[in-house]
Amino acid sequence: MQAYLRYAPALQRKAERILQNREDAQDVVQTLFVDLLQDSADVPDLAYLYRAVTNRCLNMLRDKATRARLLSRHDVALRGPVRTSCEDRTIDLDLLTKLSGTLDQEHAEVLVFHYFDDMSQSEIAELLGLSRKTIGVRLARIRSLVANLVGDKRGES
Amino acid sequence: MKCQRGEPVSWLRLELYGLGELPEAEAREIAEHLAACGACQACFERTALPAPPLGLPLPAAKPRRVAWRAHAVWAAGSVVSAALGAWLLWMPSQGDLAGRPGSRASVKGGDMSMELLRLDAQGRQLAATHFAPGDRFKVSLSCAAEVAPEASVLVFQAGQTFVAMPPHALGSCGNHRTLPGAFRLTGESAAEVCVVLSDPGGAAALANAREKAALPEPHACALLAPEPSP
Repeated sequence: MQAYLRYAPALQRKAERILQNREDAQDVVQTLFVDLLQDSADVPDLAYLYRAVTNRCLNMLRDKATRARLLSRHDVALRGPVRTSCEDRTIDLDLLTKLSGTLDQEHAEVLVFHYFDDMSQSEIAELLGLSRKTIGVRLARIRSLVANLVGDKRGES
Repeated sequence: MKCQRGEPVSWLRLELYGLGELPEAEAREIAEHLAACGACQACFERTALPAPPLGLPLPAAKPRRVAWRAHAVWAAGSVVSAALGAWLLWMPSQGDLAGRPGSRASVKGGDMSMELLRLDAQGRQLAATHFAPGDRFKVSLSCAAEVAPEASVLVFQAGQTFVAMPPHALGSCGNHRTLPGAFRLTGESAAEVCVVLSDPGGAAALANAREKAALPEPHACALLAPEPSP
């Protein structure tokens, strides 16, 4: 319970940045802690919980109905200040949903950590137990995909 | 809003810094960075803002085990007038059932059991025997790995059927799987909340069910009453 009181606000802010919906973010965090409490009395550290929230948010975005609902009533203010852009573009909820539908889990995680959590390549590498080079390769693929998506949209208009 | 020192301090590190969980040297580095970077300082200030009401998912109290004989109806609480609405009748599905009314239901053989978690508007956990405006309900279920992989939550109330939560693909079942999402109950009539497991695509037909008896197996239901007015 102490871990919940201590870490839930940080996790709530993180989920809100991704989903841009307060109630859904609250739901992600509550569900995570309910599941953790049922499995074990020990609660992992914040870094582990950050990763768990990322994956749960991405799973929500993969559901077509949830995606449509989130897009129809998201609050842009919950995204917070954006310090990391991709190809000179903020990855907003609309672009995130498109990307998460195309990228596999490994790439989608890196996308969220870098563009929503402003983590450096080194920090992501340490969090995921991978090499900095691997993270760099994944980010390059993400940038390429964003460039294609943005380029396609510009072509349409 | 670009970081003025090149590489921004990540949100995770800002949160850990605010919680005092970073090593001293790293905390000093961040303090220096924040002193020189308005963008990262603005982000850090957001971590210090009051958090919205969280909702506290306190562990549910252990339910009393109630002996159950096949085809018997288990009733708990006292029956009072409709004006008070404070009565609960536990209606089991086919097969053996045991559990505390309104919060737990088990189907014979332990193939499936359901728990309702009720949180009020302040996030306090209450007994899931009643519902009141502002309450949110979450569903946790346990089922055998080989049962049908899609879970839906339906509510029967005042002769109508509502899909409280859309079908959720379980993948494989297991113990205490909390379904994503939550739902609210409103109205002045008792509401029967049912969790149904079905094959993928089978959930669409469930919305046509007008009563619990029409639901396929396996399913588990709990009957909740509106909270009596003070």
